Amino acid sequence: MRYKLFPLSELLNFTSKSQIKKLLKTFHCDKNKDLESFLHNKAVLFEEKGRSRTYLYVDTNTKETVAYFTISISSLYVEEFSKETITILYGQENIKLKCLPCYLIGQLGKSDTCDKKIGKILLKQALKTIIKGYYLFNGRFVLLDAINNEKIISFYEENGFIPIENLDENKEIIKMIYWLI
Amino acid sequence: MTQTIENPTIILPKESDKLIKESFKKKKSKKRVNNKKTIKHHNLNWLNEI
Repeated sequence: MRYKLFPLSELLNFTSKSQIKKLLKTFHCDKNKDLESFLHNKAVLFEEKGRSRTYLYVDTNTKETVAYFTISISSLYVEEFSKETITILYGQENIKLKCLPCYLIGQLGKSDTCDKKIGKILLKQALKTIIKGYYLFNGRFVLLDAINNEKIISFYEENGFIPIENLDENKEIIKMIYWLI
Repeated sequence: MTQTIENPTIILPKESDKLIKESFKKKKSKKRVNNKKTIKHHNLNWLNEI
């Protein structure tokens, strides 16, 4: 396969930051500028500060970043949720909880230059990486930001995610959940 | 989204309360990654010899 997956952390350990930044700048996405901007400007910093982990698919022929995903550990504010919902999210009754830990798929997408249908592979890989964490540290669910577009929401639904916000036209982003348990 | 990664806490609207409950009921019908295939499991045959 032409595309190979590399953890950004491994690349940073191997070579200079400037070389890595050159590789990251080969990623372009006009449809989703946030996706592009995160990789260009924040991914390395967040990796170094322990905030998130980014994984890159690199075209080994052209040496370009064709797709990537970023995952992290986050927390969900639950204080205003009903007792029943907190019990579902936490696994047992606890009314004093304010926040709950969760896994987050913060970024996921492919470059404009990527001609392959790589979305499913990318998402599966992101989930596999999180599942490794789930086996090591446990956890109950994964959250994801999906662009509020019928095609994108359906894609995530086909892969086990469920929207947890109303699909209101005015919303740019819809949060979706994937249950690990 | 960058903002979600940057913020230490994710805050959802009130409507999510009901949708989370529903999602938990729906989860079994969803196609999901096979957890068992993802992780290399230990050989636990020794357990039968106790």
